[in-house]
Amino acid sequence: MLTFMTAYLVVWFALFAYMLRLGGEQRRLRRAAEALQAQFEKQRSSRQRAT
Amino acid sequence: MSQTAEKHFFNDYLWHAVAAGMVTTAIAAIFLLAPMEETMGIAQRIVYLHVSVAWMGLAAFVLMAITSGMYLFRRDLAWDHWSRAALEIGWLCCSLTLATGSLWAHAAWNTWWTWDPRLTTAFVLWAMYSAALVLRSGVEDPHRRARMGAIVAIVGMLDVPLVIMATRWFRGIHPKSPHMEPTMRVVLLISVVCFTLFFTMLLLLRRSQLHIADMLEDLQAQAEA
Repeated sequence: MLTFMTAYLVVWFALFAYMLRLGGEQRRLRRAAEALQAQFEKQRSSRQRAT
Repeated sequence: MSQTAEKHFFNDYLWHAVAAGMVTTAIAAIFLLAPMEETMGIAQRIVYLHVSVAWMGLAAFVLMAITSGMYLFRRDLAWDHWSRAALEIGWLCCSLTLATGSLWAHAAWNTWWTWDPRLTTAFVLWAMYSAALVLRSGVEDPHRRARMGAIVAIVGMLDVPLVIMATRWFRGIHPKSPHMEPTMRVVLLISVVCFTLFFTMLLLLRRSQLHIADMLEDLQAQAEA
């Protein structure tokens, strides 16, 4: 029983850790995309004001 | 919540729900459907996890080698994104194969590790995966990084047929194809299919992340120029 539960927990924790990593990367990308969008909008509005 | 944010929210949760459903189905089949094996008892059920991750470890290496070859042929980083995603998933699966195999070996053979041909070739495969990860992490230039990863993937590909055929070509103690009763075969099939779908989803998600990260870097460079 102990051997099987160890194997099961090892697989479970490894998958959980990798999915957490993917989730973190997903959030980082979303923040980067939003920051970039804000930067582009700022540049566009400053260009419009200049013209 | 804006419309885009709402779409992202539901996309993310749909991914997680489907992924969790796959793993739950496999685990439920292993716990509830699989009959108890007489000699090894519950420890025999490790086989269902072990075979599923081992198959994905091999399949990911083949995918990595093919997409690496395509990168070398086309010099397009989009192929390298596939290769890198396969490398990460494959390394995870190969590590889990060695860990679950070692636990099974302790229950079946009373040893954690032995230099059996199948175990040795699987260990070489894991070393190849690790070498590709380490080499890639030390290089900044994306094309140079992709080239180095591709070379390791193509050289390492030579080990894949050896892993598959090791139990037939060489004498060892690893079972060739375990004798199973029909219910056990069904559970093994469910487990392999569910884990394959689960890892395929992770692979697609990781590839799209790598692709988006590259696009964002390009856009950032354009914004700063």
